Amino acid sequence: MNKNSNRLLRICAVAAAALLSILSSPAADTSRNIFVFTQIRYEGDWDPYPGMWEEIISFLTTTTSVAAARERKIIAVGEGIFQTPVVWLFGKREFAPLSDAQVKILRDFFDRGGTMFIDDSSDSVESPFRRGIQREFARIFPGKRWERIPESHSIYRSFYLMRGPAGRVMRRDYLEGVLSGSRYAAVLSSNDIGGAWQKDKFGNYLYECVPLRDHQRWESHKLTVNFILYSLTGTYKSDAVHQPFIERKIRR
Amino acid sequence: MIIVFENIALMPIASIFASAAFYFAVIKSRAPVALRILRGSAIALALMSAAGMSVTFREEKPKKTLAALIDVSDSMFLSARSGDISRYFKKNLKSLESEYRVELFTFAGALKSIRPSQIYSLEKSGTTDIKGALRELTEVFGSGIDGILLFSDGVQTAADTGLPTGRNDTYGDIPVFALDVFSERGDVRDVSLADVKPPAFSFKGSRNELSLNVRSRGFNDLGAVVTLQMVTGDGSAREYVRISSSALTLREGDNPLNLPFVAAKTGRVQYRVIVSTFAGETTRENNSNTFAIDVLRDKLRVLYLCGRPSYEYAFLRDFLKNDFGIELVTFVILRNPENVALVPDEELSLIPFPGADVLMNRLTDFDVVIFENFTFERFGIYSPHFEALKKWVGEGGGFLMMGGENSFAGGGYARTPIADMLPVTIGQQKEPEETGQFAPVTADGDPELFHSGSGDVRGRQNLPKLDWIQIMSPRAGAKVPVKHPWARTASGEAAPVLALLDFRAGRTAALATNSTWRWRMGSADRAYETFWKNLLSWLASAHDDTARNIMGPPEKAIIGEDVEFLVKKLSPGGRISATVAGPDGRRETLKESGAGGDYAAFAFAPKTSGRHTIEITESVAGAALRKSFKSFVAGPYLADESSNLEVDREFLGRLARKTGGLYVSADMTAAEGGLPSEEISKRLKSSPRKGGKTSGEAAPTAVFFAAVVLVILAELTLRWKRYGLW
Repeated sequence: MNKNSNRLLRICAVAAAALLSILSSPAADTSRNIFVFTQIRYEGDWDPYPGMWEEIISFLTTTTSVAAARERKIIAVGEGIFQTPVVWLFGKREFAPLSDAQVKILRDFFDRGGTMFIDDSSDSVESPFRRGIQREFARIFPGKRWERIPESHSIYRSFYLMRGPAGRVMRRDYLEGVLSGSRYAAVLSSNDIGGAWQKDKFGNYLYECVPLRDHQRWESHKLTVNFILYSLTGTYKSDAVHQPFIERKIRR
Repeated sequence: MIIVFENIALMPIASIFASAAFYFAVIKSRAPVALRILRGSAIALALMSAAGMSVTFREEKPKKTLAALIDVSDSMFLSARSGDISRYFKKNLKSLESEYRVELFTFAGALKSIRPSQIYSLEKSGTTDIKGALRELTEVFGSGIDGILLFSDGVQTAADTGLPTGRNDTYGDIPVFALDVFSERGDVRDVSLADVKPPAFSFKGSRNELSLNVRSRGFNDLGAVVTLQMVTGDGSAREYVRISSSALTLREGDNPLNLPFVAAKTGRVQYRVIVSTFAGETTRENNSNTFAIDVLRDKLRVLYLCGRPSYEYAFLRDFLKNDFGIELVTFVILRNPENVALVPDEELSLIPFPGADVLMNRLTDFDVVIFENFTFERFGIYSPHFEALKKWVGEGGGFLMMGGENSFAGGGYARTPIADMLPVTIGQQKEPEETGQFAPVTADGDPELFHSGSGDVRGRQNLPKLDWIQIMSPRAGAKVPVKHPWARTASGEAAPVLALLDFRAGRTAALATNSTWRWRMGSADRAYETFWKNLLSWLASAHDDTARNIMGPPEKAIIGEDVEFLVKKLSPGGRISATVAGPDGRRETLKESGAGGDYAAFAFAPKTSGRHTIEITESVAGAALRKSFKSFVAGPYLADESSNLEVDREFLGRLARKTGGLYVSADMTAAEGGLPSEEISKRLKSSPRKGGKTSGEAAPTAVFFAAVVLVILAELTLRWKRYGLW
């Protein structure tokens, strides 16, 4: 089969499965222990890709056993953050500093097991958004730094086996994280993963992935699923029982 | 009085004549009876006179009393010494008893009186304390003993090995005669294990060291191997499994050694340590030593099977993985058969689900099994697997089923053996649900589940709300420590959020929700960790009992040396307090010296000899739940007798001299009589005795002749005067 056929087959499969998942997915409900796509709202450009979450949930429930709500939850940094342990933060521009109370809330959130995925959707390597993130996390975790997540980390193996990060544009060839205990409580991508998901109203992807186009988009989709599986399973794929299988597959 | 016949040889001839005379003169005679009696008496007296009989009256002189003290300690049996003693008495006891009054005792620690017949069946018993035996003998018999015959190799192992120093020792002044009856001559050649000191307890998988001493006499510069074995089985099925070994070059004297080993099995494990044997050793009995160690499981082992990734799985897995007291094996289904695989398998990190194999073959590796929202039918798990699981729980395992759309009846478990052991009853139809957040009711439940070492975690503020429950009825006999505030079962009782059941020798739990992660996210208190740790500990503790929750101390302890012991909390969140009562009844409260988590460690140095009793009280929320006890005996340091085999003749000689006695050499004991009587007699105590009659001899032969004449005259007179017979 050629590449176009593969692509068509993949699109059909996803569409069919998406239809099935829409029919079978639980209704919007934060109970029953199902995954809810929760996004942080703040003063600034907090929602660069409004339709992205639907694509993510559709893909997630089609390809994995994760049960997910067919809704997006939007919250501000406040007491409500403790209702969902996994949150997403998107942005591309500078944003206002958090209040001291918000800093404490986030610190408690991470201490109690919360996880945050941060996606920099800007156009530059050292973007204002990134600077804002580093500024606020220096307050949340004094003394801790953003560190490079090694490629052997379970975040790259939580569902798909990946050799590195992905995104719409490859500005950095690594993800960054802040450790809380033995897990990465916050993960930062500089490569605009959200942009690889966004579609127009006709269902076409809005943005080209640079430089590797469809392959890069596919990797971005896989990495997003890996984020979610990591948030729901932790370092499960680092357990000893998995290593021989994973090493064997990587070597092939 | 003693009757002596001097002319015994004449007795037969005189008897014949006397018999004939007696027949004709007495029996055949027609004379009156009185005359016949007199005639018979004359004949008898004449016979005695002919035999030269004499009667001697002598005084009963009391014999001196000797106490024979026979050492029956271990060292006397390792060599042939006890046999030497038996042979000595066999040869010389009659001779001794003819001269002395002999009282027999054995000693090895306590003094014990024995009969002569028991000398030939001596049994070993303990260690040597010569001074103690002498003291005890004096206290019991006072001044009734004139001398002591000591049969010992002089290998003293009591704490006080010095010589008696006179009246201050309350020993008295009885002379001791140390008899060297031992056949062995020349130097002892022996290799032995001494001072074997194992740890009182250990943790499975942890590295330990066995401290010991290889004592060598007569063997120098030789290679030897010390091997540690684990003992399994009993009787004819006993086996010795090699654990570790160490080679060393023997030097004359002590060769200390530390033998490392890892305890691989839990429970009270028997071990044996052995050292090489060599030709020419005095004995090989002291080349091995057995001991037992309590091996504990230091981690709670959990198998957690989950049907899909979720917040609950993420939080519980993270907690279990990061608790050092828990060893977790977990599998979560990441993809169901109906999910679309958009890439080849090589690009996925998925592995084959080994649930069937684990449930059938590896359950004994675990203490608790958790099923969360797990659809067994899709993954090759059938009734035999559940029968194995039920059997395992029935034999002491712990099982928890957590809520979810694929749990309980919704998961098809009603038609599996699982349904028989759950603390809730499940029907064929999926359970009704109560949705909406609720504050669980724990007020009248067991405080144990929510009690950490620092107090009740429910108390400070209400527990964060949970999301939903599946409504199920508790089984008869189940406890319901957590309830729903308004949801009711079909029978009208409060619907359980958590139900617990003792199932045969194991335990099961049903958690009707999978939203406990909210306790973690919703509260700064440690309610989540406390609840889960306590619940899992409860599930894993079915076969723990009060008799086994104190690990260590050794059965015998040494005064002044620390006795360490470990207490396992049987109650999650329990607080342990320990006291030790000494032999004098005084009690001492101990402070925890370490451990933490499920264990509390204590150390105590006994100050007095005797039995000490440890009392453990476990409390929850200030209320004492249970007590447990264990005893040990403390005493002075006792050197290892089995490895010191030489006869200490020098000590025996000094003891004899000090007490005014005599060291009786082997030549003297081998001679006739077994004792140099004169030398002994000179040294014996002169105890005052009650007086007897004075001695003298009376009634020589002439007396009998005179008596014959008198009797004949009496007969003649009677004939003439009474009967007119001439």
